[in-house]
Amino acid sequence: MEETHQKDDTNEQESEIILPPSISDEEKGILFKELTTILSRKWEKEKTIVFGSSEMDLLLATGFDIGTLREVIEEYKSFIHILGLEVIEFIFDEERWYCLKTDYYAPSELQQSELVILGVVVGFLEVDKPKPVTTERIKEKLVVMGKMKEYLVDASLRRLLRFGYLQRKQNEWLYNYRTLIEFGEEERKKIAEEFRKI
Amino acid sequence: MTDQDATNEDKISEGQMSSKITVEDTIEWSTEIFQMLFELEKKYSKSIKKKEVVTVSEAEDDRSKVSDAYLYLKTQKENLIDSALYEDFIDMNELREISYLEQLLLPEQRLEDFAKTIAKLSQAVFYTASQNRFNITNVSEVLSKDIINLESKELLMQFIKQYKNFVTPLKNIKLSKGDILNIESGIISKLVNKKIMKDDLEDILSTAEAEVLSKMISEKKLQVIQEGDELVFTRFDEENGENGVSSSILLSPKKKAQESEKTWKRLIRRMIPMNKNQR
Repeated sequence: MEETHQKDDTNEQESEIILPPSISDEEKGILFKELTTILSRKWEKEKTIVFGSSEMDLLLATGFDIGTLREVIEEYKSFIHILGLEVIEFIFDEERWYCLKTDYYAPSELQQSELVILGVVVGFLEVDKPKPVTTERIKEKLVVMGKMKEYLVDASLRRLLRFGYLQRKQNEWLYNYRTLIEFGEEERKKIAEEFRKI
Repeated sequence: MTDQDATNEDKISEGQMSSKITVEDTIEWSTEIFQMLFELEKKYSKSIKKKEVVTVSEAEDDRSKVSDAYLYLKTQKENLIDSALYEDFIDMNELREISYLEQLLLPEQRLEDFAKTIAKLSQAVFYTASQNRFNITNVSEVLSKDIINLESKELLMQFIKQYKNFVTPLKNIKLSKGDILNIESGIISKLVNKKIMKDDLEDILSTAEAEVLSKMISEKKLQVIQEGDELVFTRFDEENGENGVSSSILLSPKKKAQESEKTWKRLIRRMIPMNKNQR
């Protein structure tokens, strides 16, 4: 009897998932508007600033299955492309996330000191990857040589951590999702080249 | 065959031999030159890529080694390598100049340039600027500005009537010379030769009295010395006048003028009279 009950439950669960056979144009219009709002939002999750929405949240909000959702997002990509924006997928907290990015230059949120610190970390990671990037190493490069004040380095690192550019594992500084989104591989290489000059 | 013919033949064969040797030499020489060109081109392109500067003397030596190389080069491939090497010489020269110029820049300027390059290279995320939570404030407590047209006297009167509790009319206190002298004598009789806690002083002074007190100290009629939290008031004269750095004490009088008299009387008992010897 128990087995049959369980079977009934699974049937009910399956029938709860609504698979839209075809989404009408009107519905699609509303959906795209909502997606633009959701994907362009900036908020804070566990002390880190994040953009857009996780795939799981979108699945829960829309009630789609994963295949439909990805199809919808693919269509949305071509729609938003006309506006000079692109949908970016990134991994945050071992989850897939979506957000929007401009195709062209957009002013960075970072201040000068933060840009320098980020550049130094990128330089270290690109030039000499196996060697861990620690706070001491950054300070050795900037503070010991008298180029920057120690408190400014610490404050900038804290802000970069909060803004989602860097993450810290034990004592080591690593890229977080935002550096990988905003700086492509080529850009990072260029930064590493410029890094040699300082 | 005469002897002369024989000598002529010898000469011809000798000439042929020498030309053979020179041809073989040039072939060997040209391969050697090409080898040198190839290696130098490799060296320079590598160091340009890594942005490593080759010194002027070393580059000049290398350049003089291959300056006549074009005479021995025949194939297109060889000529291409030669021109590539010359381009590398030029690039190296530029790199050297840039690096010299960079050394002249201050570290701060170099950092600024670095920051600018990074800012240029970034393709920022698109987002709508907003906070993820509302600031919770009590709506009724939010202060607002109301502009009241002065011409409409009735409106103004109505406004004052309505917000009687919030509106306090400003009063200009004008002190005559006599008033000031009165306050001065009051301060002298009550404060001089006494130790008073700073907080108590704030309680007993009205704004006008605090002003007069400040005026008296600046005019050197009174002298105040701070001992911990206590203030010691004495008359100022040449004999007991303290020379030193004067510091100011911020007082924020809390009492209104009418109330201050009562508080004076109440607090006068708490004041500690000073011995004349004690300073």
